[in-house]
Amino acid sequence: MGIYLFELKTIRKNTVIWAITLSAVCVLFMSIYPAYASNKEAVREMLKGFPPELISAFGINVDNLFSVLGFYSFVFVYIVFCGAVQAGNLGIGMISRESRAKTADFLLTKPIQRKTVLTAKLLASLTSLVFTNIVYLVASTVFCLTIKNTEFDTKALVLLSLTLFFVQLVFVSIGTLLGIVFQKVKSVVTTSLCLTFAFFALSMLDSFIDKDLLQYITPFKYFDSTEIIKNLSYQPSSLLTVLAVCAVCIFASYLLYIKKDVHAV
Amino acid sequence: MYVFRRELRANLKGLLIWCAAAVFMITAGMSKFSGLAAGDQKLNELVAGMPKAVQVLMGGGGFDLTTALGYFGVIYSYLLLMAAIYAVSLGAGTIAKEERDKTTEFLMVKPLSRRRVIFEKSLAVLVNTIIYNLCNLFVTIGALNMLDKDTSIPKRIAVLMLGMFLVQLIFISLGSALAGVYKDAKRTSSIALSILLGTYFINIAISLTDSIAFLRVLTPFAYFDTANTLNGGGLNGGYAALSIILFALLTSVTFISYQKRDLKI
Repeated sequence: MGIYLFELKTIRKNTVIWAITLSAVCVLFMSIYPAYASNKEAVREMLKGFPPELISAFGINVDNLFSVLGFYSFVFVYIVFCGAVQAGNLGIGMISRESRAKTADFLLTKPIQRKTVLTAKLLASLTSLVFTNIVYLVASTVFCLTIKNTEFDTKALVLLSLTLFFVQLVFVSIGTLLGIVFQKVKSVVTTSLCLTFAFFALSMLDSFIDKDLLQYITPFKYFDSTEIIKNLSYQPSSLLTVLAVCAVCIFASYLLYIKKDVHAV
Repeated sequence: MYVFRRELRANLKGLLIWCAAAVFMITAGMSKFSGLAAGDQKLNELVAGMPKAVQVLMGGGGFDLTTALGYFGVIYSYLLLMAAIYAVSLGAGTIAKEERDKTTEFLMVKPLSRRRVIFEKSLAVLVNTIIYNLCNLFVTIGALNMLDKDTSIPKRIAVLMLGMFLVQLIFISLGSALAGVYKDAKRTSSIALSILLGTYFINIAISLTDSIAFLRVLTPFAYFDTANTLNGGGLNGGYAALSIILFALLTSVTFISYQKRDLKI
């Protein structure tokens, strides 16, 4: 319990900053929406010049393209990117922080098992993520509801926003494992950003790698926003993938951390 | 010039990894194009008529996706982000790493002025940046040459990469200025990367609506219009000058503040 509280205190300030940042990014992007939506009539006019069969064959739907949810799911990609960096920071920093600050021997000479240490640290990170997501969820939903002259399904919005939490869980698990595997992490933020960007870039190459395969490789593709808006529920395979990746990473983390060679000062 | 050579050797591994990542990004991205070029001519015509913001939302980013060059424009936005991340971590790392690795004393007791140390370190960073940029340039020209034999392409790519180099200059000097001012290496990289992501998001926001175009001056990512450069237009002279002024300003901040600040030992 002592470790849990101490960890919480260590990451408290960061958590607050991240929660505010994520909400601010959402507000920044969504406040552009009215200006963006003003293009709607122009596009409708333009599309009149094309045969309707062609337009529907390409799946272009003006109402979807200019809906709040359509716009939100576009900008949400970048918010998830930020959230993934935050989660990666938490995970990678969790264990490597001790060796960098030269406090690993202080911590590990306490009469506490290593697995208890790891559990306490993981729980603290989880608490931080839950807090971040509650703040984000409230801020984003409230802000979207204040946008004038629009109607959208709040449930879809909340479901979309909640995928942030799942993606963060994946990144915190991968980060924890990396922080244990690497003997020395020089800069947590840089490592986390590179990890996140690598997955992000992979998600952009969607026809280079087989699409069915890609949705299991990169966390940014685990959830399909179009499907969520349409079905108002998650695909079971998405949740199972999250669960599987987290379970494998966390399990491996315990196995490795218990035996890890920790350098004393 | 020992510091210079020592730095080059220390940065070599990172440089190779970053170059490999860039090569992967370019080749993987362009191989996606060859699949796309076959069909969907009509779709591209249709998309081309839409307002730029809508194109951005649909993933086209305002480029003509039927040509290899236009297609490269989409990849370039990620290359630019990568280059900026590399530049900022290189600039910040070169100064901050001495304090992080506790090698400051060792370096500072050498019969070299601090100005000299910074100068040689900055030179090494500059060389790394140039090599990274040239790597991008040659691989891109090579990849595009296989898809499109048009002789004007190499020149346009060269201009584009010159723009990328100016953006890199801003970010390396930003990184080193922050490291020059702040003692805490952890804080330096957090601040540097938040500025980087912040400016990147402003860039995306600008591409979604023209009403905030005045913010362009705040974000180096928006200084040079990729679509315009790829169509044969040169770089915007005003922004090129601004980039160089920013570089000079931030570099002098590095030199002045690092010479006076307390070292964390």
